[in-house]
This record gives sequence, structure tokens and C-alpha cells, in this order.
Amino acid sequence: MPFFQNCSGGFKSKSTDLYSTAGESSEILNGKAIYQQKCAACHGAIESSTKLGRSANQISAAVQNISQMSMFAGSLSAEDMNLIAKALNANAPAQGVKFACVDPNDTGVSQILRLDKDQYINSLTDIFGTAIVNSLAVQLGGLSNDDTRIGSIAMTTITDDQISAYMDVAMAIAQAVTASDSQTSNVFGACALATTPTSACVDTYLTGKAVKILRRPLTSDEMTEARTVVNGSGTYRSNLAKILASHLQSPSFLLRMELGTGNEDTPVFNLTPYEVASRISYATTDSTPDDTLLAAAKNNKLVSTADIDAQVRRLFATARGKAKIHSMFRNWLLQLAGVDTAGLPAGLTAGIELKGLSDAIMSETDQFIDYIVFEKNLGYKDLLTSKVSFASHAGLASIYGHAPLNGSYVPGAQTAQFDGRRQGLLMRASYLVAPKSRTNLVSRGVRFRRQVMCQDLPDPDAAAVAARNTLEPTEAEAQLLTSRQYITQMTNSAVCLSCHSKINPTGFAFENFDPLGRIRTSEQIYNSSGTYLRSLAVDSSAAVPTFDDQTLNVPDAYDLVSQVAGSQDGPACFARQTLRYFNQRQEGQKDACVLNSIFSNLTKANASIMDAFVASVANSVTGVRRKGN
Amino acid sequence: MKKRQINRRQFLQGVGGTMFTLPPLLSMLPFSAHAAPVGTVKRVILCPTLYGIDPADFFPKTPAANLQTKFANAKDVDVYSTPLSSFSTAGNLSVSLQAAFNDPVLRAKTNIYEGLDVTNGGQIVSHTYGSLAGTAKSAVPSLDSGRGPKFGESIDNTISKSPNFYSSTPQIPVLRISSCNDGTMWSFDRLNGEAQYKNFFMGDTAAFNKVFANVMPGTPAPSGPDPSKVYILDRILASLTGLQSSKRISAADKQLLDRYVTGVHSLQKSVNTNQQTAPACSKPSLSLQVTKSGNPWAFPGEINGTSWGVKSSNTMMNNLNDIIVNAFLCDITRVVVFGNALWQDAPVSNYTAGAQFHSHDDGTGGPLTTAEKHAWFLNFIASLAKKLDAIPDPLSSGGSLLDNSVILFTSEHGGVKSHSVFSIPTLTIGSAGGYFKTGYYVDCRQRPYTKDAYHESIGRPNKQLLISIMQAMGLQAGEYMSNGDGKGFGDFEITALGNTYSKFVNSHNDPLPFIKA
Repeated sequence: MPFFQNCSGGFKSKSTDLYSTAGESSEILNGKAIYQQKCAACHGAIESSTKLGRSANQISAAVQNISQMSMFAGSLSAEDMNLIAKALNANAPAQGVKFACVDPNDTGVSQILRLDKDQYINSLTDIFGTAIVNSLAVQLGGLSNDDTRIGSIAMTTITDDQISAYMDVAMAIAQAVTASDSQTSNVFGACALATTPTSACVDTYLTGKAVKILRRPLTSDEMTEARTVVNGSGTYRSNLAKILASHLQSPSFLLRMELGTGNEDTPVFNLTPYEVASRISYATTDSTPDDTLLAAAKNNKLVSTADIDAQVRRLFATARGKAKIHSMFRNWLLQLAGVDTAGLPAGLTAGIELKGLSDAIMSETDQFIDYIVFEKNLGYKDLLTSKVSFASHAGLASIYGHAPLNGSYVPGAQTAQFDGRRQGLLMRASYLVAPKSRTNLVSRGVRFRRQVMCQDLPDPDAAAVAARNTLEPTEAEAQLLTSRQYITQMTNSAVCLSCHSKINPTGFAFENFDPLGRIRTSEQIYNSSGTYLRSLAVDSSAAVPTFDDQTLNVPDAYDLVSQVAGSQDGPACFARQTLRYFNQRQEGQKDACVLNSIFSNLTKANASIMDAFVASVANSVTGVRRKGN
Repeated sequence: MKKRQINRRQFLQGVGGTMFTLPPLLSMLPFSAHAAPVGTVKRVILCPTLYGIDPADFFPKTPAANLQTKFANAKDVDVYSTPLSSFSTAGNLSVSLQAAFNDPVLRAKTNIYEGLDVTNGGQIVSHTYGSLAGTAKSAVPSLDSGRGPKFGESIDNTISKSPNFYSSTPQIPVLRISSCNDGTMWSFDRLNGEAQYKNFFMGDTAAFNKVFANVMPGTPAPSGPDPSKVYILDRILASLTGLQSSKRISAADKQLLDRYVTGVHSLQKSVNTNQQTAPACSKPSLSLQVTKSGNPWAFPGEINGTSWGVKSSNTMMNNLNDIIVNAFLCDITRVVVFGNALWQDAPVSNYTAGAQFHSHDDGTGGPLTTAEKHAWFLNFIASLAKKLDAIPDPLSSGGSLLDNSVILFTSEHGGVKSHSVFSIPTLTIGSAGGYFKTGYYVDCRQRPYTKDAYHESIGRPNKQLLISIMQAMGLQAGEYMSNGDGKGFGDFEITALGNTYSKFVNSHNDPLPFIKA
């Protein structure tokens, strides 16, 4: 039986509980107590245990087979294991349902976030146009890139440097806009060009661009304040500049405020239509709501799931929407990349067209994502197992083992097919390449387990680095070793193997791909000067730990990927990643219903990643916020 | 220490609109014609870099008999020294200190320190961004890939915040520049226990544009607070105050808003003191290169914004040096952090292997060592020092810009392969207006030598040199003692790898012995 298809509810979470906690028996309470005493130190609190859903037999097997668990061989009785298993399965979802949905109208905690740098620039561009934003290179240079990883505190804080840079940008925009008649007219209305504008002229801005900047209508106090300023001392345009700059520094622009409506004393409250619009817009396009979305908010057309669904699909289909989806795979999830071939030995690249290869690798990946998500509307399994290729670059086509397409692919045109044991997103060059003579074996393994299997793997600590350095082969020794042997030797210590026992086999399975992503049966060894030394046979067979810490024997990554693609846990992990990415937060217990919706769209008969993405943004709680404590 | 600070208005009276073009006009400026200043304006340049250098490749090889062993007092125990002039100038001091440091004038203004250790108590440092704070990596492995510094803030921030250093807020309190992405994590303060990294300008274009944003040829920037900014900041504070009282924000949300308020207050202070900051300088004429983004390891390459070639890298580093010199001349800043990570491979050869692999080479296997790659950066530091030394300080009553400054070169760990805590490669150039003795090799390794597993000898806390620098800049102990592990500044644990720093239990918060003039 395929191991990955036998994971009933065993979902892992670093900090959340996706199970309900009502109605516990004494057995469950006893099981929890034993778990707390024996297991919690390594596997976390029971509510968020990495072993939720484990059976007594699985626990017993772990005690027998996993060295770190052997200490429990004499101290954990069969009855203890039964009780622990009951506690781990206390509130598991029903068979066939991945997450235990309790209340579809509830939602996980979300925080107020600052716009990240990309969102900030996108918003400015969509409000003022590219000409203005392109003139801000100096001011924008004062903003560093934001760490947008889930759990990073970067988006929930604001530094002095950022505030200073935001001020510089705001002042520069205000100056640029008011220095130009066309820009002044565009932002403030044609009436602002008059020698003596009327007192009502400023309302053109206050009910137009200002709403787009603040992503909400101005309050009456704000309107009054602006009218007072514009009619005060100073020139009309300088006063307009002052108002504009103040709005660009406003928390309503720089922060994604969600203050909602209704009872102020409840932890869960409804968002205003404009806040819903903002939430949808940044989730789908990383930018400010467009005119259509703002009009929908104004007309209260962002209430029903159907209305929201339509807006979300519309926005995902825009250039920014596609870019956001590309970025999910490229940067956020899998760290896909082209390759700098300058670091590769000439012998390794012989016969491969290198010019334009790096860009071709990424553009072909984007085409594949577009094909799966947009053109064919396919699901998770297709993402990992489709053999379709779009390589028109001679070098990339050669790597993929087919003739190059005649010209860049357009939807509906003929595609190419992967040759041999290659399939899906994870066997594309963008996942496989490394800018050196050896494969990035560890990186392939780490990314697979962290991002595809949602497994927590800490970075190596000082002790692990020391152990690794002690065991690292000398260059002379390394010249006689395959990459697999090299990594095996370097990580052959208890401190390293606590993680590398999982990472290494996963990476080994990809060893039938060379640093350019070509299928290979032997590994070319080069010295540090790039001189070819010898070829060594490649062994890509591996005993890969599964989601359940069982072992899956595979000849190479092809079977590994097939197993994950056909499992329940693979798409369940992807559902989590989807929710995290589009909502910019960690999932919580209250998100189980949304996660189920995403999951079911990934695995249903006519599975659709697009439907899953839409479900992560347009759902029963899109208009609801739960604030934290 | 008695100091007199010259504001830009006074500077304007002295230099008035002179057009600076580097090089060669800097050395031709008629400083003797300036209004005569009194006192010393001090400056500091901190140059941290990634990876260590194996001791044998950095420190001069010194016969023990040459070392002076006269201890002035008990705290000086195990500080040995010998003048750098005692080393032959016929050959390089070490692999990483190449011909630039054979210049007798530069040697006379340089100190090289061996035996300065990160006293974090851990087995090894591994990688850390805490070099400028006297701390090692965070206990949180996931924080910044394990490099997050443990405590406090880096000294550039501490110095810049001190009223004993800046009597008024300059245009740029700390100028942070870097050759590329991985050089940008050295400067930080702390919020809610987590390191808050400061923005760096990457590449010469970004640094140039920021430093000289308000400098126009012959057109001094307007003085006095900008009324628009004053209005805007008032409005922001009013908005934030309203939001803070909302019941629909959580404690975490409130932290964000509180931080925003604090930041606006800080900016208000800067805006309100702007009346003293009208610069009298002109933009230097530089052949600017790139603004860096993308893969920090990409190298070599063309000038396309994502990777740099050898020639453009050298030009860029020279430009960064000239930007620093001019920023000092214009008094736009007095604190610089010059982070570097662009030192792999091509600048010193045509070697093109992966930088990560290569950077962990300790010289036993590859054709190049990390020490040689550090030499690339160190040569630019030497070049910067010489440029500063060629210019009389227009804001001080005597000495060159270098004489009134101190440049610190330091690294994140000692021996590169072992990621050792011992003998962090360290040197200083300049006396900070006479605070430091200069021209010495200073050996702080404990005697008898206590070889550790990585064959390096235990020394004394390197944070003491950071304390010396802060004191040289006029700071009082109370301004930095809380930036640490609760026992004072930085990190101090008595034991490391079974060795002991027990000799320094009562002195680890003192400045480094011997080097104070």
C-alpha cells in the first residue's frame, strides 16, 4: 500500500491546532497526560503535536525503529501507547475530510500588516502611474526589501528608516504631481488648473484619488481638515501637495487597517466593504483595489460569496494576479531560479546552448504554471505529474530531452513532452539547477520536505556546523566521492542526522538529475579549477521517510513525486501553504473549514488549483476578522 | 573630553560652495583658508565582513622575544605588543594584509589585534551578525538563518544616539553602505527582543543619491523645519492616536501602532532640528556603477544590476570610499558602517567556483584562501584610510580626517573553517583624535598559550575594543552597559571550549588595555 495514501488525519502543524477540543473522555485525558510527560518535549503540545493522528501501532513501530525513540522501549507500555494514540486522535476529522471544520463562519486570527515593499510600490504605481514611480528611484532606494515569510515580524512593525523613507517618497510624489499640469489634473481634477480654483474643487480629489489612496472614503473630519488646508495660506498647489503627502504617510495607506463595523467588544467582527475590497486586492494582486473593486465596495457588492468569488477570479486573471501566482511558486514556496552558468565547469555545459538559458528556465516554468492554473484549470496532482513542456530554448529543450518548440508557446498551441523519468514542477530545471559542478542535493531535499511536505526543519545550529566541519571531506577525498557520498560523509553524526536522516534520502532521490537538471546515470567529478577528473555511477535509489515517518523505497524522485501527488497529505500541505500565502498569516484552528475548502478543490474529481486559490480568498469568512488578544 | 562641534552653517562660512570632484581635487582644497575651528570632530567607520580568516593568514608572525610584556596594571595582564614598524616592509605582513599595509605612514596609524575573542560561551560562533555589538548568534536557530545577534544593538547606533557624540541630528546619523546583499545585516537595534536590522544602501548609486540628495552645486539647502513635513507628521500622529484607542485592535496591532508613533516622533525631532543642517558641499563627480539587487552570490558578471564584474566592482568600491570621504567633508554623517560580502572569487583571480564552497575553504585545498579574498576588501579599507589621511580635517583644529577618525575592520568569526570564537581578525586605523595609540601589533592571547580544538589560543573579550571605540567617541559607560547580557555590554561567559576568561570577570566591561594613548 502506498504510504502517502495512508495518512488518516495525521497533519502536522508548528503552532496551531486544527482539531476541536470538546467532549474529552478520561482515556483521552490520561493519554494527554502521558503524552505531555513523554512526548511533548520533542513533538510539541498535544494540540499542535507533529504526530496528530498517529495510531498505537505507529507509535510502537517508532519506538522500535527510530533511535531517538528507543529510550521508551521499556518505559512506555502498550496501554500507554493506546492512550496516547487516543489523545492524538481525539478530535480527528472524519474519514475523507482533512481538517476538522467546526464553524464555517469563524476564522483564524489576523493582524494588521504594513504594506510590504512590493505592495507599496505596486499601489503607488496603480494610483499615480509608472512615470511618477520610476522617478522615485532615490527615495525608494531608502526602503529595504521586506522579509515576507510567515512568522517574520517585519510586516507587523515599522522602523524609523521606513518612516523616513515613506516621508521622502510622499514628498517627492506630491512635488512631482503638483509640478505638472497633467498630473495635477489627473490627481486633483481639471478644476485644480484654474487660476483661482473653487472651494469645492478639492472634493474632486477627496472623493476620487484620496479614496484610492486610503482605500476608504474619507471621514467628515478628514474632509473638513483638507478643505481648511487647501484654502489656507500658501499657494493652492502647495496646499494640495501637503494634503496628498499627508495621505501617503497615513496609516490608512501604509497599513492594512481592518477596524470593521458593529459591536466593538467581540473578538470576531465584520469588515467594512472597503476593507473587504482591500483584503481581496492585496491577496490577489499585491496592490490597492482597482476602480471596479472600489465601485463594488461602494455599492455593497462584496457581501455574497458569489460576488466576492467573481472579483477574485477577475483579479487573479490580471497581469498582477498572474505575477502574484508566479511569485508564490518562484519566490515564496519553492525558491525557483535560473542558473548562473559562469560557475559551471565547461565540461558540464558542453553542447548546451547557454545564452539565455537562465531566463528560459524561469519563463518556461511560468508558462507551465499558467498552463496548469489558467489555461487547463488543473489540480495539484497535475502540477506535480504533468509531463508537458514548453521549452523553446535549444539549451533547455536539450536538458529536457525533446526538440525545442518552434517559437514561444501561446495557449492552445502544440506543447512538447518530457522525456523519461521527469514530470511536473519539481523536476523542472528551476527546481533542480545549481551554479556549481555538484548538485544542490541538500537544498533539493530541504525544500521538498519543508515546502511540499510541510515538515519543520530547523537550520543547523552551531553544534551541527561543527560536526559537519569535522566530517567534511578534504578536496582530495571529495574528488573520489559522488555528491551523495560526499553529503553522507559530511552529515554522518547524530546531531546532523536528526534532520538529515530525512533530508538526505529525499535529496538522494533527485540525484538522477545533474546540476543543470539533465537526467543522468553518472556524475562527472571536477576539481576546483573545473578540470574533469572522472565519472562515478549515480545512485538515486532512496528510502524516503514519509509523512508518517514510515519508509518509502523509490528508485528515484519520479516515484517519490508520484506518491506525494496521489496522497492526501501532499495536497493538504499545499492547502496550508495556499492559505498562508494569500492571507499572509499562519493558519489556525479556526481556519479548518477554509482549509477543507481549499483541499477539496485540490483533490476533487475536476481538481483545480485556481479554484483552490479562489477558495483561499473568497470564502465564508472573507468579510470577517478575528483579532488576537 | 572637551569638544567643539561645527555646524554646517559655520562650515558654509568656511568652505562656501566649493565644488568637490574626486579625485584629484580633494587634496587641492585650500583648507588653510577656512575659518579656524577649535577642538576635534570625531568619526567612526565600521567595516564588518563575512567569514573569518585563519590566524596564520591574517596576523603578522611575531617572534615572542619581540613582544613587550610590561603590564601597567593588573587589568593589562596578557596584552603584549610590538610596533608594526619593527616588521620588515619588504614583504607583506600577512596573506590578507598585502602591499598597501607596507606603507610606513599607514602602518604608523594602524593597530592589529590578535587574541580578541567572542566570549559567548558557545563552542563556536558559527555565523553571526553580532560583530558590532559584542554578541554572537541568537539562541533562536531560525532567526536570520541562525546569524541573529543575541543582545542589544550595534555600536554605530549607540554612538549615533549619544548626545555626547552628536550635539544635533545630522542629515544621516549613520551612513550604512554595502557592496551587496549579504553585507547588510550588521547594523541593528532591537524591538521586542528581536533584532531590527537597519537599511543599507547597496551599491554606489544608491549611496550616492541618498548622501547627496540635498546637495546642489552652489545652492545650500534651505534651513529651518519644513512646514509641510511638520504638518504631515502632526496629522499622522493625530490619526495614529485615534487608531490606538480602537477596541478592534489587538495587543499585537497596538505594538505596530505604538512603533509607528515612536518613529514619527523620531522623525519629528529630525525635522525640527533641520535648521542646523544646511550643507555647504557640492556633489562629487563619480562614475557610478549599479544599484544592487538579486542574488548576492552572482559573480562575476556584467553591470546589469544583478551581478557585477571585476572592473565594475573595483570602481564601485572606490566610489563608496569617495562617498564616505565627501560625506565627512560635508559633515552629512560622522558614523559609517561599510559592510562587505562582495569579495568572492573574481576580484582577486579568475577563479569561478561557487562562492559558498570557496568561502569555506581554509586554504588547505583550494587555490585561493579566504584570507586572499579578505585582502581585496582590506586593500579598499587601506585606500580609504589614505584618502582620509590626505585631507586636513576642516571641522577640527588639527589632524587629518583619518587622524580624527577610527576605522575598524572586523569579521564574524576567527578561523573560517572552524567558525572559531578565537582571534577574530581585527584591525583599527586612525587614533580617533588621539584617543588610541597606533602603530602596534597587539597580542591579547593568554599566556601560557591554551590551544583549543581548532589550534587557536584563547585571548580576551573582543567587546573591550568596541567599548574603547565608544569611549573614544565620547560615550559614557551608562550609554552602552545595558546593551548586553545583563552583565554589561555585549556577551561575556567565563568558559569556552573548556578554557576560561576568569581573569576578566571584573574587567570585561572596561576598554581594551594598553591601546589608550
